[in-house]
Amino acid sequence: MVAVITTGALRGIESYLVRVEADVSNGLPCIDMVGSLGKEVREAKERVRVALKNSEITLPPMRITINLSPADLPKEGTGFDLPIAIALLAALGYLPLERTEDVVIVGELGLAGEVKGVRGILPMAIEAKKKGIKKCIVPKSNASECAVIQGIEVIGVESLEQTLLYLQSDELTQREMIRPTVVDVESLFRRTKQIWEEDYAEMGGQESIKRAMQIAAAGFHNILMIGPPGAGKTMAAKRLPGILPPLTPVESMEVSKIYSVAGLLGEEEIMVTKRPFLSPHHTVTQQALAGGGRIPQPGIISLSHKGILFLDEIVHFPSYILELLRQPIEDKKIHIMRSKGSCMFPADFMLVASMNPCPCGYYPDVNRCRCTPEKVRRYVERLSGPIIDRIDICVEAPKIKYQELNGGQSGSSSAMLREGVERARDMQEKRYRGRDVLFNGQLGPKEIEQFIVLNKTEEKYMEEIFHRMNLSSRSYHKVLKVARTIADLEGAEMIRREHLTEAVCYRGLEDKYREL
Amino acid sequence: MDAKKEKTGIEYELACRHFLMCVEGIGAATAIKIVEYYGGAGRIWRLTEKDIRQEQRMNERQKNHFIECRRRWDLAGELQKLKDKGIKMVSYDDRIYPGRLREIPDKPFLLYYIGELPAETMPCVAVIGARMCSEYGRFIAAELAAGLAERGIQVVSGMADGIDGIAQRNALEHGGMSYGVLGCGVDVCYPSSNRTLYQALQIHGGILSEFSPGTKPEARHFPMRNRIISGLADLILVIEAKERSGTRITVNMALEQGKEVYAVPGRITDELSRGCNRMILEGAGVAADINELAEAAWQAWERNCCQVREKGTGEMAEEGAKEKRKEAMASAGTDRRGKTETEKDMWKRILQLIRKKGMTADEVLNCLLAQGSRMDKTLNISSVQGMLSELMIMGEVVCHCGLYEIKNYRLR
Repeated sequence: MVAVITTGALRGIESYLVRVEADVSNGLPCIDMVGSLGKEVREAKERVRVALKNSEITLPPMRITINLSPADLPKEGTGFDLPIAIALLAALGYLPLERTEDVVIVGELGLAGEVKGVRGILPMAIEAKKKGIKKCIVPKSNASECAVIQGIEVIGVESLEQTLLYLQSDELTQREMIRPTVVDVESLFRRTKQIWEEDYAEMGGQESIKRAMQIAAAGFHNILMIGPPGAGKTMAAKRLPGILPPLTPVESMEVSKIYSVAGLLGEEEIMVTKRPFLSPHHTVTQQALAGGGRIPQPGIISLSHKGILFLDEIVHFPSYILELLRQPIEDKKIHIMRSKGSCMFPADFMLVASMNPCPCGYYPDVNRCRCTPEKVRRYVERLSGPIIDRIDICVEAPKIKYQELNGGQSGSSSAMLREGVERARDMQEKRYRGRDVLFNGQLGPKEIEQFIVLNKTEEKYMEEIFHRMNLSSRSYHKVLKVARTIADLEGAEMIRREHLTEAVCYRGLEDKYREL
Repeated sequence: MDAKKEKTGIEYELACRHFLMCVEGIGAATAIKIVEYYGGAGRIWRLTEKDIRQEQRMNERQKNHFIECRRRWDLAGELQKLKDKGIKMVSYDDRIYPGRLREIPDKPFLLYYIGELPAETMPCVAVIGARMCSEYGRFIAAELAAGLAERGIQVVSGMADGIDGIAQRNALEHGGMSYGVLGCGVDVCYPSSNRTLYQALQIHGGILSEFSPGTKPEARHFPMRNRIISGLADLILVIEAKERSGTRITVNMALEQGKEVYAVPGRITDELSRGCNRMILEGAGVAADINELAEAAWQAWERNCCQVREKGTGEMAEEGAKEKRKEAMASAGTDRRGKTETEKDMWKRILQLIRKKGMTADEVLNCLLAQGSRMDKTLNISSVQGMLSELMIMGEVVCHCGLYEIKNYRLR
């Protein structure tokens, strides 16, 4: 008799449903497993055998064949243990087959028969719902992560025995046995909203850097901070998530999917509700940053999707690591090709970088800086042109004075900055409704022409700026984009002269060091 | 026929001298010593190995290098190589060897040059200073070099980053002649960022070096290079220098060579002016007025060359310069139409602040807040950044990596 159980398999951050078919027939006693199986899936045989034994179920001396269909797609991961065991039991007649219809079963087995959590439950749940599945039986530690998807019954199980018992009972008893896990997503968002341990008010002075951060947050512009050691660059970056517009439920689902695949969601964090903030050290490897591995896993740039990728001391990152970022910044995603097939991970992050102005860190303070112009130039040139091109805002963090440290006005707080950011977000939402772009920072040259229109007088002034400041066409576009965001922060429909002049202050690195 | 023979004779001698300079370990002093003893480098070239071994004026190492190098050396070929690159040579006993240089204690044995040598008929001023200079230094170097050029005075310097390059560039821009003395071969452009200057100097002046072509720039070459810079000049003008710096070393050499030194005074709090102020304290001339400076240069040249000064040209140039300055002063006031009074006031206040000292935008904001004013309510970082940008677009201030400084230090 052939028994069929449905389960889910991962492919990148997407999932597809897999049918586990088990057949028991006469012959020499053995278990055969087929269907393009990865190493962990082949090992499932032993885990299932021992788990069954320890759950006091003896396998009859018969020939058992298990097939995972579609048989041509590669299957990886440990989530097949439980469905294989259940399929086997169904084939042996331990449970009525109709109880497993429209049910997805996922889980890893321990030798004692306990069910352990697996990666990527969320995409599986999404796929299951799409295919009209009504019930998911998942490991208990994954249950709430799965229950984020509404309209599907989620049963969290702890052991093989319990699962078997559950499936053997009728619907009424089932209800009494294990209560379906339910998660209220809205309250989840409400709870995590606006809890930020760090505030910009803690940074005395440094108004220029805070302002730049506000603009970057409002327009999702990539930003580079230049300043001497101890100027508060890292502090400013760490507080940035607190002023970013909150994650929308749709965005949150996208991010959670990535985290689920990476195995980073658990009982404590069942869904990503805050914008991610990742700050890899400069010894990070290409694989860790971009993602990869034999079975492609999301890397740091994907984990910072819809959030912030902070590269502290960016010039100390090897150039091959930085060049890696070029394509993702442009395309907002990364393709990873491996022998086991290719997959795409989203990587729409905001790049926040910091660096010293020169090797000793004190340029342009000629009284302290001991570097030669050549040294300064070479230091800055470690950042390649294409990377600089992709950074809209470049701001200097000056050294903090004693008065600013000790008392003084603390200046704007995160709440004040957030207010402006939210206003800018509303403006942008209205402007870009029904389009791919969400933020000013994502505009290309074509869209700039369409959306950023200047009045006659401003246009003339911009022309003057262009000639006087000797801007390149790329910096010209950056100035326009940033000016648009500055106007949005104020809620102004048209860009005015003062918006342009402020935007000029944040023009690129290539213009600022040219006179050296 | 005779003339041609003589010419080839001179060429042969120069080729031999070029070879001597290319022998590792033989410097200007040794070269002069042995050339004087044998009465020419040609004779040394033709010495047998045995004779060389017995030579008293060279040490063992030099002898080994000499013999080793001579075995591989192609006299005519090497000369042709120089010719192909347009490199000329002049030796210390040559007629056209710069007269000012002839007087210094350790004069270069052989000078390689592209372009021309400094003219003897006009004064020569060495403009030197820090590579990492302030906006003030940048402006003064440009202004004074331009003024010197307009008064028919040649500018010598090291073609380095900072003051050197700025001075030379401006001298050329104002129709003057300028000469760059390098610490590497004349065919090597160092620093490479000064390539356009390097090319312009070959046309309107010259590139000079005592190091054989192809020599890489090395730290130890630069002090040697500096003695040529000061040696070529009638007067040394120091724009900006820290208390302990390469510029300071050059000035000490210049004093040993008996040259006159002028320094640009600066604020006593500036590290970069400390060297200059110290020099003034020790008796250097104060370079506060371009006309006085030019006058001093002409006088120094007169003393050095004991030649009659061709008065007319200098005065005429001065007249022209005066008129030019008048015009420049008249057009200097930039128009600021369509701006309200309060904003203009604000600009003035900002300019006043940063005239004292370069400031970051945050510092400007804090200072303005501390002063207190009617506009305080609208005063925040974004408005200050905006105003600084406006000033920058008008060309009143410049920004170096976040530090805003006054651009137009006006000379009175």
